[in-house]
Amino acid sequence: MNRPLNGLLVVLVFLGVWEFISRVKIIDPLLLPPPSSVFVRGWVLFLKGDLLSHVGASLFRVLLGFVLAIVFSLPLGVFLGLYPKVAQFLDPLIQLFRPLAPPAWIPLAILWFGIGDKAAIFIIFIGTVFSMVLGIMGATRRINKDLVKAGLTLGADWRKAVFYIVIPSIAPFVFTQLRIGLALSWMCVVASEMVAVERGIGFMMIEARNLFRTQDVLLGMAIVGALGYGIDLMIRHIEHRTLRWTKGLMVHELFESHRTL
Amino acid sequence: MRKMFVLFLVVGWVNLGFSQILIGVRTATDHSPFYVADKYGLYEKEGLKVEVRLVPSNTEIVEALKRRDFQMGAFPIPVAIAAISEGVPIKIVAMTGRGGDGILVLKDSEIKTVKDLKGKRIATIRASILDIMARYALEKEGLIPEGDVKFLYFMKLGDMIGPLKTKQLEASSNTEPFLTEAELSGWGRILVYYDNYWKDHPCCVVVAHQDFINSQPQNLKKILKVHVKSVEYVNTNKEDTAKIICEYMKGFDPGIVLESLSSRRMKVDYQVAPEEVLKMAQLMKRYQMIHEVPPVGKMLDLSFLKGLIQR
Repeated sequence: MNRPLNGLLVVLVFLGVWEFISRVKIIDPLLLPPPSSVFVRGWVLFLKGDLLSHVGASLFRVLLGFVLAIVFSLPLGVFLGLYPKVAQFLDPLIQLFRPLAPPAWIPLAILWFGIGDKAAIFIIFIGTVFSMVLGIMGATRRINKDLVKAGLTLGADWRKAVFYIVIPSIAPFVFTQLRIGLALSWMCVVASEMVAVERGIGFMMIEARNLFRTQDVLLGMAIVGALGYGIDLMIRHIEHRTLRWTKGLMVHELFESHRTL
Repeated sequence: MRKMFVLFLVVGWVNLGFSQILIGVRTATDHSPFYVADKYGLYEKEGLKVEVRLVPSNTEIVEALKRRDFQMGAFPIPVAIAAISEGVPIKIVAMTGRGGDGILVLKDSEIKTVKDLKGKRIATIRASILDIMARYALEKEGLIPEGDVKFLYFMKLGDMIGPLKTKQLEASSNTEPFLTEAELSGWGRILVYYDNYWKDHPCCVVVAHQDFINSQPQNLKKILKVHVKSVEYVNTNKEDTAKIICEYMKGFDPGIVLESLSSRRMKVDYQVAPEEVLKMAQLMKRYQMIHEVPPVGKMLDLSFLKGLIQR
C-alpha cells in the first residue's frame, strides 16, 4: 500500500475508534460527540453557506499574516545569520517578544491597528515571525564558509555569494521553517479572531464555545487541521520541485535503503 | 492497626471527595452573595463543606459542571439556557442578580438616545445577556438589530473599553461595575440601562447539576438557604458588601462598587419566575442563539427555593 493510503487508513481507524467510544458511551457524548455528528453539523453549515465564508475569512488572514512573516523573517534571518554581532544586539529583544502568547497581543493590536482584519493579521504575523527569524538565522550561521570562499575565489562578489550560495544552501531549512511557521499561523488563528471580526473559523469556534455547541468546536478544529495539512502538502510539493538537486544526498535515503547496504 | 489506618485513609478520601461541594462563580457584582457567604463562613454554619471558586469565564464554569467537577455555579441566564438547550444536565434553582447592564457611550458623544445608534458600531459579547438586551432595546426603539447597527463581538468586557475610548466604535453594551466606573471616571456616559425596556430583567442565575439535585437535595436546600440569607445581607449592608466585592474583584475602587450596587443600577435577588426564563429563551431563539426553546421544566427547578420562601 502506498504512503498516502497508509495515512488515510490511520485517520479512518482513528475516526472509527472515536465513533465507537462515543456511541457506546465509554466517554459521555456530551464531552466528546461522535465524528458523524460533527460531519452532519459541518454539512448543515456548508449548505447554509456559513462554513465557506468562515473558511475564506480565516484563510485570507492566515495566508496574509504568514506571507508577511516570510517577507520580514527571511531577509532579517539571513542578515542576522551573516552578522552575529548585530544578532547579539537584537537577540534579547527577539527573546523577550518570542514567548508572548498571541492573546497577550490583543489589547495592543486593537489599539495599534483598530478592530477587525488588520489587528487579526498582525496577531498571526507576530505569533509566527520571531520563531521563523530564529530558525533562518540559525540555518544561515551553519553554512560552511568554504562554500562562500570557493564562490568568491571563482569570481563572485558578496551580493552574488549571498544570492547564489547562501540562500540555496539554507533553502532546505527555510522550507522546514515555512512549515513550522504555517503551523504557528494556524495556531494563532483562534486568538486573532477574538478582535471583533465578523467571521472566521476561530470566530466560529469561539461562538460555538459560548453556546456550548461542542460539535461546532470540533468541526472548527477539524477544518483548521485539514487546511493546515493541505497547505503543508502544497509547501512540501513546492519543496520537492525546488530542491530536486538534493535528491540522492539526503541521509534518510541511506537509512531507508539500509537493507540493501 | 495498619488495616485500621488504611481504612481511615480510604474513608477520609471518600468523605473528602463526596462531601466537598464546589460552586463556580465569576468576578461580578451580582455574584456578591457567594462572596458574602464564603467570607462569613455561612456554609460552614449550615454544616456544609463548600468551596466558592472564582472562574475567569462562564463557559469554564459550564464545562466544569459538564464534567461534574462543580456541583453548582452562577452565571448569566443566557449561558444557562444555551447550555440546557445543548443537553447539559443543569437546572436553574435561583436568581442572583437583575439588571445592571446597559449601553455605554463616550461622554461627549453625539448619541443621545438609543435611536441615534442607527448606523453605528456597538461592541458586545456574542450570545451574552449584553448581546440579547442590546438587540431587544434596539427592537423596542424600532430599529432592526441585524441591519440598522453593526455589532462587533469581543471576548472580554475590558477589551471593548480601549476601542470605545479611541472612537473605533460608538457604543458598548456593558455591565456593572464597568458602567459606573466609566461614568465616575469622567470619560463615559451611560446612554441607557436595559431596565428601561425590561424592568428588572434577569441577569445571573444559580444553577445546579441534575446529579447533585438528585443525590443531595438536603445540601442543595441548605445552600439555597444560605443564598437567600446572603442576598438579604447584600441588600441591607451595601457598604460592607462593596468592601467584600473588592476583596474578590481586585482592582476595583470600593466607592465605585458601592455606587454600582445602588438599586437604580442593579438588583441582587434570589427569586426567579418561569415566565421571565421562558421570555429570555424565546429571545435567544429569535436571535438565533439556540435552535429550540427548551421546556420550562427542563430549565428550572424552583421547588427547593419555594420551600424555603414559604417557610
